[in-house]
Amino acid sequence: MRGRAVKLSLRRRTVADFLYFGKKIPAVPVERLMGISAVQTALARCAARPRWSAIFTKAFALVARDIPELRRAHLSFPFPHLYEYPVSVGNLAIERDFAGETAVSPLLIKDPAARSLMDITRAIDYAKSAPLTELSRLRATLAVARLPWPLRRGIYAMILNSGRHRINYLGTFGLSTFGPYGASPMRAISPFTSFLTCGPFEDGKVNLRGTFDHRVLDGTLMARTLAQIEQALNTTILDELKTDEVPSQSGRRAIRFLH
Amino acid sequence: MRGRAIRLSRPRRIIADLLHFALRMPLVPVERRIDISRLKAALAQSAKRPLWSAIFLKGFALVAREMPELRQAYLSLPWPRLYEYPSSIGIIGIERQFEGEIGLFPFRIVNDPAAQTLLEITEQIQRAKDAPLDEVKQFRRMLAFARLPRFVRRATWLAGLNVGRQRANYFGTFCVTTVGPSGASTMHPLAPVTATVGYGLFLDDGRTDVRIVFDHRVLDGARMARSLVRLEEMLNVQILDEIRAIA
Repeated sequence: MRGRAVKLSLRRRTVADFLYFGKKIPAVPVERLMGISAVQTALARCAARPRWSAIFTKAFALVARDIPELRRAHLSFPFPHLYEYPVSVGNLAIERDFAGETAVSPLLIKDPAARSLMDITRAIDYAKSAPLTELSRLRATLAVARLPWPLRRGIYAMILNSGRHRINYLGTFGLSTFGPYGASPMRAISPFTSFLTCGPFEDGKVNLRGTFDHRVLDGTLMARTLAQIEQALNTTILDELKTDEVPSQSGRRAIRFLH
Repeated sequence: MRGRAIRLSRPRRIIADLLHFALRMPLVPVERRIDISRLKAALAQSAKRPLWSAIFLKGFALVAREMPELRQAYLSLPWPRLYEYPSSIGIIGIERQFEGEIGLFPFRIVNDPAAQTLLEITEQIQRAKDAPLDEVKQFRRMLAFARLPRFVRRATWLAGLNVGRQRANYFGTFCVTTVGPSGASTMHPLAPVTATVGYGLFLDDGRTDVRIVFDHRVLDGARMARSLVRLEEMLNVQILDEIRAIA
């Protein structure tokens, strides 16, 4: 049967490149069912409500302060070694409509542990609503996607293997929340050292899944990390939610600052 | 942002090598929620308590006695073929402190777990956990091997994986892993063996999710699903009787 060839869109090209490098990583998922009913109750009482992705980003960064392995990346060239960053940088996938389909704009948040939940939330809100021309990461991603594939793959390989530059494009960990859709991937394919995904919220609990690069850390450490994230959610994050915080800066300022 | 480059430690080099080969295998996960409530009750009453990893090692080895596919390995060089072993060899990951960090050391249980008692297997694992690193021959050899340059290590691994007689001596026929004690579970453990058995948290209703990631070139999903059913039966009959006998 004759069908029709469909040209890869810019979005699909970017995803294909992302997966090409993600597939080379021995990624192992670890999951933990977390009790978050106290956080849910506190959130319901907040005047200004932080996003869940901001909450998980900050909680992971708080834990990564004490666990240097979570701030490391495995670089293969010129010889296999690890590279450790002094602080965490979170990479949040923000969905935007672009040329009739959904494009994902990376939002990098430097040192989320040092920022308030509302600052992170405002940055996310801004990235979700700002004109596409203002999102420099999305512009850069689309510009690379227009290049022929050997050039694209070469650029990505250079970025992934340069300790100093990798963090500016990829961050130290990725986060994606599928909870609102009632689903979560069993095993994420991504070039991140750690990639967090959370499932649907049920009965005050959520299944948080951390897919990690096994060359950098081991399963027990990721399991301990998830346990500490639950602890951070129910202590530091909960305390912050209980103190009604006054908005400090606009989303536009926040995103510039965070970039 | 400027950070600092860190040399790969010797245990990390070994893990990276093993994962390098595991990544090239078409591994597929299957899972089954297994009832272990009677085992837990029997263990609570037992004077000498065998480790859960020993229980799963022996349980799976008993299943593999009945199912030859679980004792087979896929060798790709010089031509693709299967190689079958007369008995199982189990591998388990042991966490040990090494040069200021926690390293994961693969440990091979000496002899077929199906032919040993649970306490004998537990004793081997306990020794691997507690004895000084240089007193455990396997760890000593592994750390010495990790000093070799990468291309020498990779070539040696490649040869080991493709020589039927040697493969099981270094990689085993199956692997048991868990992160349950830390309050989590893993859905897709990675190891360059035909079957990697992972068990998760013990749920309140006395059940646990057991996941097996298997090499699809050697056997199919339905066969592996049947092996999980058989594993549950083995745990609740033969292994349960042995634990009750210990008590």
